[in-house]
Amino acid sequence: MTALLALEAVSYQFPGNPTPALQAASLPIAAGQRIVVLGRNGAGKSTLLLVASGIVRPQQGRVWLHGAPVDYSRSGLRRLRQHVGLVMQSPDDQLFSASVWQDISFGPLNLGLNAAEARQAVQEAAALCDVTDLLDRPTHALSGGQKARVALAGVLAMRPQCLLVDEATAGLDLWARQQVVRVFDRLVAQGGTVVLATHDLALARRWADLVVVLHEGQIVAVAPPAEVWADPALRALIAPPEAWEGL
Amino acid sequence: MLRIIDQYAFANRLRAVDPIQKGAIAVATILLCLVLDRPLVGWLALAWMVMVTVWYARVPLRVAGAVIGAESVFLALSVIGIAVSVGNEPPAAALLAIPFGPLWLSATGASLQTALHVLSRALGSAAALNFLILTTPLIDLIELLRRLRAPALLIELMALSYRALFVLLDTLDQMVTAQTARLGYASWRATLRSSALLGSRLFIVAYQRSQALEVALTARGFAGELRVLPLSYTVDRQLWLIGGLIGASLV
Repeated sequence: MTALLALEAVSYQFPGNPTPALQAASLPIAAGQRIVVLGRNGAGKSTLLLVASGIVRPQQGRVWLHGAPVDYSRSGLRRLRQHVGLVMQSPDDQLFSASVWQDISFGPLNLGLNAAEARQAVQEAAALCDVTDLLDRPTHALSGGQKARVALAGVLAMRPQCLLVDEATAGLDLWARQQVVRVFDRLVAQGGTVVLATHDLALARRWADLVVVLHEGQIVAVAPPAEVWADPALRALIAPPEAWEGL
Repeated sequence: MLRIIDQYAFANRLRAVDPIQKGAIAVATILLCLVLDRPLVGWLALAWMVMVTVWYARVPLRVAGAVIGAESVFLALSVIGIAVSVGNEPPAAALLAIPFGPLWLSATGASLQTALHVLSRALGSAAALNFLILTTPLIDLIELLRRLRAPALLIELMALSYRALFVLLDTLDQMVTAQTARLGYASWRATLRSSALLGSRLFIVAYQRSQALEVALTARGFAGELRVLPLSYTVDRQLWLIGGLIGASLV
């Protein structure tokens, strides 16, 4: 079966940085999966998501979308953005408009939808993320949890098949975090895929179908959570022993 | 004050009313204040506009009063130059003359009348503008400019600046708290040092945020233009009627 999105031996080194952020990373991403990316700060989680979303072009290796290599031309990237959405770590970095309604409408209009279709996409994404009642609110008056869901809606309005999420649940209280995870579940139930980079081990254990372990830019394991949890060597790469207590 | 004005602009009773309607009433009032060159027009416009803002839009009197009060102080200070003249001798028709060393500070009936005239026009216009500002959030004003076909670049810059302003204000608050917790403002010297560090750090944060924003916009298909759906508004017939009454009373 062809993967929805696949990274093939992808490497990337940021200019001025002596070590590569990503080294020969390969990862097939199938439809309908819940994938969690674990690793220490600087392990390459964000870079992996930036490469997968086409924001950063790999210096080596290739990214595949529906079995075809990603074309980095304007039209090729537009096609990639139609299928792959990226949610940033801080919603404040993503929400550019002072109006929730206008911010969510930005992506669909960029995809070439007309006003009526864009309106429909905004309403659907708002319903999916439980932010319909926030549509006429200013973005700067939202709570952290509301901002996170509005940022999600802004990406989901583009109806991506694969959602890449960079620690978007960090800093949220447990209720807000659960609301965001519920949105992920709805997306997966509709056949979508979610790739979530996080430090939340409990969430990874409970929610993921597959865990990707990154260490110093290399993917060292891709396995179900139970297998990762059972491997002391992998656990040592992810978090100190105390963090695993009770998990 | 900026946050308070913004808060009431979003929470008042005329929030959903078309900004074109509110803008038209405010601009018409300002034009009448300028064109009808009578002091009473300015005072009447001031009273009407404060009343519509408080009574009809339900903006608290203390907020509308604080805004016009602050403006009044500045305007009053500005017209002192018109009312008072400085000379070697007080004019024969001076109503008030105060010696100031070898000089005389004096005011005549005509100069006081001119000063009050200018003050009334300025305050009437300021109150009309306050009505617009206190009842219309900046996103609606930006939308108004978009509909008036203002240049896209100007609109995008305004929208991004408005959004960034609140993000940076939050960041500024957090930085000041962190500095205060480490005695950053415990002395005059520490205050100077902390303020300088705060300014430079804020600049770096703003730059980093702009880069992150660029990544986020690119991920959502940004192709050089911030295209968004227009906002929808209602038309308030009663407000048109009130606007007409104000205009008629001023004329």
